[in-house]
Amino acid sequence: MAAATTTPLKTKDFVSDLDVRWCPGCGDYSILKNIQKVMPELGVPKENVVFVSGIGCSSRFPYYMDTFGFHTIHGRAPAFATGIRASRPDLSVWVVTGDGDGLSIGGNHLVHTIRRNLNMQILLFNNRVYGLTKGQYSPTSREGMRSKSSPQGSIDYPIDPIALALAAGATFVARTIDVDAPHLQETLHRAHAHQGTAFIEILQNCVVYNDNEWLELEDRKTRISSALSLEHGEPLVFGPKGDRKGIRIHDGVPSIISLRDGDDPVSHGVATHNESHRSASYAFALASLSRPEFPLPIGVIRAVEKPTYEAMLHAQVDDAIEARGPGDLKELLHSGDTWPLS
Amino acid sequence: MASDSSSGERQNLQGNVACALGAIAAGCRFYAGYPITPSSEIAEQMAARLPKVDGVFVQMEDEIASIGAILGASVGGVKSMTATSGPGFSLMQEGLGYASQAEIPCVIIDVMRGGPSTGMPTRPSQGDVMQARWGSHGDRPVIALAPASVGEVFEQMLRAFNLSETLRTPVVVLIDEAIAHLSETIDLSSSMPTPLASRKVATGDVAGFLPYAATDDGVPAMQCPGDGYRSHMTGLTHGEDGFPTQDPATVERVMRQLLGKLDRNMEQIECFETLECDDVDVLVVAYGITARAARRAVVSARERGLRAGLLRPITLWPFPERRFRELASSANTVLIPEMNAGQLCVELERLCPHPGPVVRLNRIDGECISPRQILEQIEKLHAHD
Amino acid sequence: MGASADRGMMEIRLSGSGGQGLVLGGRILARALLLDGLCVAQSQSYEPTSRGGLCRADVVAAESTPDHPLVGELDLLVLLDPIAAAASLELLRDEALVLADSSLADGFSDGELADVYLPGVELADVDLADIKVHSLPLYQTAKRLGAPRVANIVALGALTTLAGRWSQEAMEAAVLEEAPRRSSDLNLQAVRLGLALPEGQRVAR
Repeated sequence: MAAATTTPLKTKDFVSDLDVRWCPGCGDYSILKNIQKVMPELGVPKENVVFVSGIGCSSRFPYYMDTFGFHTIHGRAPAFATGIRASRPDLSVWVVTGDGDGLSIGGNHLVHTIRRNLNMQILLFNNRVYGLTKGQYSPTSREGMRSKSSPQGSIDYPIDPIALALAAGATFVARTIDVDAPHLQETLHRAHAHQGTAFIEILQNCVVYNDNEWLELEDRKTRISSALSLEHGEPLVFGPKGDRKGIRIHDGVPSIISLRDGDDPVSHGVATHNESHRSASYAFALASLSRPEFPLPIGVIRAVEKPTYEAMLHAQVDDAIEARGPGDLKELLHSGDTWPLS
Repeated sequence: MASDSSSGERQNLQGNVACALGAIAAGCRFYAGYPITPSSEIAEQMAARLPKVDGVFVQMEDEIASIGAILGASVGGVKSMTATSGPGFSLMQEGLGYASQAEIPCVIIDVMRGGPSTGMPTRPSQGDVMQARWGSHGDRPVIALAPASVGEVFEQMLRAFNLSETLRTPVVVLIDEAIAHLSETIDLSSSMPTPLASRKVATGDVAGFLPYAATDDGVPAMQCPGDGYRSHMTGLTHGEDGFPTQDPATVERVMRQLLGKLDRNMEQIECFETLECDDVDVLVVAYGITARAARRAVVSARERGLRAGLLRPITLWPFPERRFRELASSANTVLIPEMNAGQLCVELERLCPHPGPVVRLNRIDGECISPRQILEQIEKLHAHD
Repeated sequence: MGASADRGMMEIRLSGSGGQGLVLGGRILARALLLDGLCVAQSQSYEPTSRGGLCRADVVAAESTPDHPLVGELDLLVLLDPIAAAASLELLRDEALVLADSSLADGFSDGELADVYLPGVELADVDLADIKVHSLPLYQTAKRLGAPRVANIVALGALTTLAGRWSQEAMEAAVLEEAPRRSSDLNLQAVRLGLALPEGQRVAR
């Protein structure tokens, strides 16, 4: 067995020797670079890091990380990751999925994995299209989107990843953008520090089949109006100087308030961001903000503490061993079918 | 009252309970599953017993997730299993294929009930025999065991884990509902001596490590996250380095290695029992609960002077071809009673050395085949001689 | 079918309707036979209905693991409910012994088994000539203890005496081991009353 890594790690330690093969200009390149940058800063020995993916463009991710890579079955990465975390709580587990892998074929697993609150990070790259199969609409595609499998326009209503994660009881939910390096890195740090399942939707550009889907959010000039930057304890304001606006939430229903320069947003009824609000209804109100009526919230939408699945699981194991003595296999086997179900 | 009988060594155990105990005795420390009749007692037993031996039980959202979770845990280095029945076994086929391709040890129990579809959840069947062989797409190495008694369920669980670990391949244990819910007297102390095997673990240099490098026995050494090796697992066809490849020469090489794994280790895989097979006119081939009826029928036939014999495959896949061919070549007739519309018989018809009659005896009404039915058939076949 | 290779083999069925404690009864009987040094195989019908429907528990016992663990020719049959008879009578072997509850079948002691249990049913294949039928007040006895639900335990006691093929001590011990602990005294009383029940009772044939 090899010795654990002792010298401080650098970004290049997480770069595998495989040629990265996404389409030139794909948003995944930026995400990969930022994750490779953040990894050494987390202080986890790289042999203890596992990247788990399903099938899709995003799911090629483990090839390019010089960690333990687990490229599993379409949609099933959360289930594989559950098995790893539940049996090996010493490992740092990252699930990489996409809007097809995570929300279509794997929607059920995503919901239940989030619900269990295992300590892991789930990164969902949302490009609103099926890229690997070359351009069919996905569960997050806009209504009316014309694609190879919706030539007359999609008549599916899209699903919102953030609202879904909240409904599953997620303890950490955030949204970030592929090309916003500082924000992406900060969000990864926050997700890793969180105890429990951290769900991050990363808005990602598919340059070939759905180019510029998030352009107004990726472009620094338009972002100020199209994005609602979330900062814990700060008012929900957006828009450039001279056209400042804020979000008011009344009876759970958000609306936009115009502000003049120098106005105190809070005294004008603008809500203050509280990511750890006990009730999830505030987070649901944020999740309901969608383009083009509202700016899209970017940042940590919800972050609350709940005991993790594996903490409770291993507490039960400890209790069982304490109550019945360390497992004597012979005694266990010979206890027949009269084992007390206490 | 016999004095030794209350010592706890001899017990009446249900098949499903023996399955769970066998798994724990084999070193299984991770179970993920989704309840389904008639297998649920296995999950309940594991939930109650695993924590005491520092093991983990997880109830998953479906059978697809169940097999995913056990593959995750197995890659983490823990002996893992799940149990299900027909409808769940169908859902697990993609995971089984992945386990074969990525060479991840795991044990899957399929308690066979009447099918197709939801079928008859509480009635016995042997309808999943061909699904165990061909249920997942593509060519892959397949091992399936078919115990015929509660005691054998326990023993075969030890074998299932040993084979799975040493050969890095999923092992399916097919238990019919009749055996699963049967309670029989077994002596666990006499079952225990089976030595436990574990997977080969990678050693040596981290640099240039090839996770799927060829070895003498065709089984690559395994590594876990945390071991220090950079490794990659995928369901895509991969080269020795674990990364996808479509290079024909490499694909041919690694696929031959994958599929040849069983042939190179057939001695430990093959397992069968014969009864009264020295001079056979009617060779009965039976497995699971049907083999118990066949055993009684063969004994009765012999008492009547009829030359009947029994070949009972315990390892159902790969089927003991060589022994079958030997026995079948000297028998006039091969009789195959099965609780399905005819599955293993197709394989036997293929293997039969001469075009001689392979006679099917099938029951698909949710009832077990009785010794009387088999005996009557043996008598009829003799009358034709 | 001819004589079995299984030495000392016997096939026993407890039969009635759901809720009569037959599965527990089968487990107790299997335990008693195990305590007497036999190898047993016990099975039961797993029907979706837990109450009211046909229910049975079968036990096959022999000196070593029986070749075939399921019943095919019954040596002993307990009937607690008329609903159970049809499926079991044709499995009786010659010289089989039947224990039936008399409170459910007045006039049964006349030996008219088929008339009582299978009114209007043709029993062409069933030759009851050599069957020994015992009709005993199993439910009535249980009611005297204030607990009709222990009729299954009374039946096991009576069957032990009538069959004479396993020990009373083993049966008593099995009842205490397998039945719920909180009602140990009641169950012990029930099995003892059952053990004494055949004495002095009229044997139908």
